Amino acid sequence: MAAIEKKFTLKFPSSTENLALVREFVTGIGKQSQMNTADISKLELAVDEACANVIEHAYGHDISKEVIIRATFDDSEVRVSVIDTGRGFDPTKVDPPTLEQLISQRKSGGLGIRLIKSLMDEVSYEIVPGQKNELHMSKKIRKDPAG
Amino acid sequence: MMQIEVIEDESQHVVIVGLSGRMDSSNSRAFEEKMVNLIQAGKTRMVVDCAQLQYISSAGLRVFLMAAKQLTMAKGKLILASLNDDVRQVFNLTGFSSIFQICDSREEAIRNHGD
Repeated sequence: MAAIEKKFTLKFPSSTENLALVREFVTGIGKQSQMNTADISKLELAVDEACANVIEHAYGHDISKEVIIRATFDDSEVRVSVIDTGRGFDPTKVDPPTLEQLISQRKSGGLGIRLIKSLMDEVSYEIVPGQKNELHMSKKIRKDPAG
Repeated sequence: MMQIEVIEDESQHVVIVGLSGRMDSSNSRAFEEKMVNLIQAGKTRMVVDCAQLQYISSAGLRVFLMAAKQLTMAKGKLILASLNDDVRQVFNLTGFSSIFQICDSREEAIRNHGD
């Protein structure tokens, strides 16, 4: 029998003050999926980073814009997409900065995507210039030993 | 929600910055301003106590990196103390653990400033 997929959506104005709300949303989904606590923390941070990138870079802190998070899970994995209609930029095509670059450069951009890639199992990006950008992330569900 | 507490340990000539709560893109600027102000005021021997810091995103890491660079130029030193498991994991995943000196307690961090 095919696993039942559960779907959730959160839409919120593009402001960093909503990141706490985003983390609550994602943490709730992680708990419902029975993902282990350590992995829920990773999922929470990855989605926080993805949304912060959209708010700051794709939308330039324009609160009139909307960020959409679509999350689904089944028995095996949690998948999260962060969707915006802002300036298209494919962060997965840019090599994250090395430690040496971070230390020597004045700026430290690329740190967020570096984290996302190390926190999640799969990361991909779909971009339709001027229409829609979607960052897709997934993580396998590993349960807590007692659960 | 994040709170920043600054304590000057005059006997050791060290400034201790205590962080509590959750640091993300919405509030990391307050931490950045605090650190810049302290460094500009000549406070170059610093300990950031993270015992009460529950969460950090890359926005917070950027501030640590900025502060470390400024302190290096000012011939100062930044030591971190008491990272919880989640915060330490973020430092480990990004390689930041190898950039910063991290101590298990505030007292140990203060002692290390004396070395």
